[in-house]
Amino acid sequence: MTLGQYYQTDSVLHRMDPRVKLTGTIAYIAALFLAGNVWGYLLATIFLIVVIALSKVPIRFMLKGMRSIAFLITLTVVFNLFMTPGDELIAVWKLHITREGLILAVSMAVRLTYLIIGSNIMTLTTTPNALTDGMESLLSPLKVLHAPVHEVAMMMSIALRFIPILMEETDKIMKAQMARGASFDEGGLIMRAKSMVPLLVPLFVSAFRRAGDLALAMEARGYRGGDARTKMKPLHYEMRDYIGYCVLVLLIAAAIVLRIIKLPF
Amino acid sequence: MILEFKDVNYIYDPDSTISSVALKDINLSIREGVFYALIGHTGSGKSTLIQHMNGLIQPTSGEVLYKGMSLRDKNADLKMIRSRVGLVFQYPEHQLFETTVYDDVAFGPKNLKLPKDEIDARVKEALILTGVDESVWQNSPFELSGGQKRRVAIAGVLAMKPEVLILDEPTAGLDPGGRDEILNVLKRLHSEEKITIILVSHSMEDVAGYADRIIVMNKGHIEYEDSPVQIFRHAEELKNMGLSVPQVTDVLTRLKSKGWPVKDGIITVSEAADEIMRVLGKA
Repeated sequence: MTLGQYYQTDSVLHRMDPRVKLTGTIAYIAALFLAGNVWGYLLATIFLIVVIALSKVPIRFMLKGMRSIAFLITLTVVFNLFMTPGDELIAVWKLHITREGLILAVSMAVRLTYLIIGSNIMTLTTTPNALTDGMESLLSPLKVLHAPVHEVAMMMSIALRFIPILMEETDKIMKAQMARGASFDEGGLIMRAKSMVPLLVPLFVSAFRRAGDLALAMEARGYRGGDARTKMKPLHYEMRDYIGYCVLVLLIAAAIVLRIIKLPF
Repeated sequence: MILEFKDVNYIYDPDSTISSVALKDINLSIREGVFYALIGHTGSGKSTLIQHMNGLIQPTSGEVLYKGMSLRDKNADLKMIRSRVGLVFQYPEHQLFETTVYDDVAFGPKNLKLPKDEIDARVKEALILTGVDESVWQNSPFELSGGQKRRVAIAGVLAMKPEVLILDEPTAGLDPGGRDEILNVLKRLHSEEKITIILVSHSMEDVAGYADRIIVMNKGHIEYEDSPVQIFRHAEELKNMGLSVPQVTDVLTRLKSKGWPVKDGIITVSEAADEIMRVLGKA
């Protein structure tokens, strides 16, 4: 899941409450793993196509994270293909491809691909802030167990907020050290690791300085943690969100039914 | 002519939809031994321009020449050029990383692979030139005050013995005392060490008394390049670019428009005081 890859546009999915989208992602993953036959996968495919169409996000953004996990998918496919015992289809030297192995390999590849696309849709249609707000709200029952839910959510939003700042800082320090004759792409592995010191030390110093400044600024404005803290934009459900939940309940129900009842294939 | 810009254009992210022109049609000659001030409003392209001077940024079109050699040339030794054209970034104290002041200043000369005694001589010379007291040379740079840290960082660039020293807002965030110390160090480097200085600033007030030439940038191109006295004749235009003339220059211009027989081209407070006394003495 890549956070902060939000795609700006206006769609039902963008306007939807982040809690529905978070629950929806989890429900979709559950439905994917409930699927045990062609009908189950057909259901997951139809749901995915409808959601993609609703999101108004170009397909190429959905496929973005795919390249990085291509290796993982290939590995899963290869292992499932050759390691599953069952009715032999083809045998080459010591390698056997079985009917069960083939089915398992294809279904694993489909599951992983759908899983990535599904969670991509969530991060593409939800701003990081809305996402952390949603998580905080969904996890708030854990407060009974004294889990620091608000604090964790606040840390997440701050971390996300600081990514671009630290990127800029890295670029600046790199240039400053290059102006002093440093080079970051010369020599062997040890040389390169050593050349990171003039970059990393100032970067850490500045990250700590910023963290200290931010803490001070937050306290100066009366921040005292999560208790009794109100929100500027409180989350509240609209009609579309209730409809969303209903669709999710139907999705799960359909997935369970399709797994239990006997259908051809 | 130590540095030359020929029809330099620079575009940020040329392939993306958010591309923006940072520099357009820059033609500029930097002559040896001159104290330049580079002035411009925030976002006028000052920082982008100076990063072209030692090859940290390559122009989108056009050429930057160091002593007649293009920085784009494959044979151009950028490491050597970066030691000849020293660049001090904004808030340079943020780049300090070594355990002692001495080692941090030695980082540049070490990268040039100089012999040990030469490094030692350069470090000491640079620290003395910038007025860093010998008692703190073995201290951690992180223990120093803001002004001291900044002088250590400048010494780090000076230790490479540059012919040109470019400083991006070296007085930003310092108190008036710290500001004057830094500016006086620069003046001494210019007059005694004969180093060409390019001082980037957004404040005319700071540079008026120091610079021989002022380069005024606006929206990515060079608006004026002239002596301070000539530049300050364009008070109206400068105001439109979000810049201002020094307050004393403004005061004397107004006095003159009220019929006082004061001279033109006064840019420092002491000159202004003398001139007003002269006129009053006559009256």
